[in-house]
Amino acid sequence: MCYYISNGGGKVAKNLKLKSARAAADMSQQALAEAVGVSRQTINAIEKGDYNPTLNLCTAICRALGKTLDDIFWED
Amino acid sequence: MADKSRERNNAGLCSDYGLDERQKAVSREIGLKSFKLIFTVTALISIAWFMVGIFFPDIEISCAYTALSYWAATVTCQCYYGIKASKYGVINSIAVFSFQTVSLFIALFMTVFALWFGVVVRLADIEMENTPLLAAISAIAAVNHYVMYFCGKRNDKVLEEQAKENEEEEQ
Repeated sequence: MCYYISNGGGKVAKNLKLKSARAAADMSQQALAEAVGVSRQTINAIEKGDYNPTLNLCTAICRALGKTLDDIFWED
Repeated sequence: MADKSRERNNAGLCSDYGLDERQKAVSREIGLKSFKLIFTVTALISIAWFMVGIFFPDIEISCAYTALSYWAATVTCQCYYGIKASKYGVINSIAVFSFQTVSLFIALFMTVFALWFGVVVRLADIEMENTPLLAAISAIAAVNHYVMYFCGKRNDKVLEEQAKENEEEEQ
């Protein structure tokens, strides 16, 4: 098990938990991006596993979705 | 007033104003590669000029030509950064706007200068000093600004394509 974050910036697996949590909160990528202060492309890149967000951004995303870091960024 | 100065400061290629953390990370990675490129190119040019000085001590080389070679190297590296950054759409919006407006105007202006010094002055046999230098400087400036204009256009296109892809994925 490992966190998606802080692994040296390499390519990581798709973050399906983020996608489903966003869908459950009925938020579009644009809405989530605006809520956490990044571009929509960045949210898309995180979901696709093209970008490792910083801890600050991870916590902001979790707050916006009402989830914990474990819920969204902990890989089983 | 403060806004205008902020816009001026962020209208350059290397400003990361308005970029988020991912865009900054991409921009800085390209910046690091550009730095390595400019370091290598500058070192090679320095070695070349040094060799010329050592092996051909009788040749008189104008400082202007030396400066021109370094400037050409700098512009090349800047263009490299711009092309790479626009490929990922990480040029800030103020810079993109300035490239699409001011750069095109300057590029056209410099093209006229380059043609004047490089072609008209020679064909008309007008007596002027350093016309090759002036033509070269104008041509380099023109190419630099054409590339920046192209980078601005490409950056916008990349962002539009990304937005389209995202919309399709969301649906």
